[in-house]
Amino acid sequence: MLRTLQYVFTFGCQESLQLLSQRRDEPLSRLETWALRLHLLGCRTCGRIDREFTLLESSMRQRTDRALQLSPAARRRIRHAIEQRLMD
Amino acid sequence: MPTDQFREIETSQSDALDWLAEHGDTLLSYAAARVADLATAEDLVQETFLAAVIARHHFRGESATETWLVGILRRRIADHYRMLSRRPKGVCLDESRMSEKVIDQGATRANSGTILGVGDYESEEFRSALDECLQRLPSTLAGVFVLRVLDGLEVGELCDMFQVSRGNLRVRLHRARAGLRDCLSRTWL
Repeated sequence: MLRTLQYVFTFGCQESLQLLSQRRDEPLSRLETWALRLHLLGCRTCGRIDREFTLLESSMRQRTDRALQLSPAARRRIRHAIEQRLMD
Repeated sequence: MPTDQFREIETSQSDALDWLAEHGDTLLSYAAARVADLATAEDLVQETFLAAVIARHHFRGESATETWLVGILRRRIADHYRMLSRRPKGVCLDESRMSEKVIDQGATRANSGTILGVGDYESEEFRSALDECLQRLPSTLAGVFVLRVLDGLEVGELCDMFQVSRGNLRVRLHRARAGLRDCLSRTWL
């Protein structure tokens, strides 16, 4: 009990940001979930940073939409490497 | 060289060159989204084709050729990051990359800049700022973040892959997010 209270009362932005990241990868414990929820009620900065993390991840995913083409030089190099490998 | 062996090489060569013609661009796009620069992406595509040539006898055509090739490329990308993160500290020190200590300091700065509402996230400027920040991120952080966000690898898989504890992985993922956010808030203005 004492440990729980200590955790909640010493919970600051540093702990909050760590958990905002962690919850994107794995579920949080019940205590962590409540401590985070309580912190977010009073901290707009952490709420904003959480939205920025979301934006960051969706922008990362958009990188996969880019259709690139192998340059003629790269294509020639790869072709040569394949031919070389087959002759070995 | 016996005629049969020669014919076998000829067939393999023609198959491999067909793969290159048909799937080269797709593989390059896949790799370029996941590594910091185009030259590395091209190298990984080349390694993929060479590995495919060696493993061609194991490919039974149960999956589409492209799925098979992308599978090989995915493993190459993971190897690439694993190799970079194993490199001892101090070797090939890259000054252009952010230091993890600086990321930690910036990560919890309450009054750090913002990337919300500053401009258009779909714009080319934002994309190049993200590219630049990703290049500056230490590879120990970039690898786990890319594989987590773009390939959806689970925490357990990443721990096994990089031989790190859960705690260490959490710190790496957090530093990656915090470092990129901090970098974007300064670069993209």
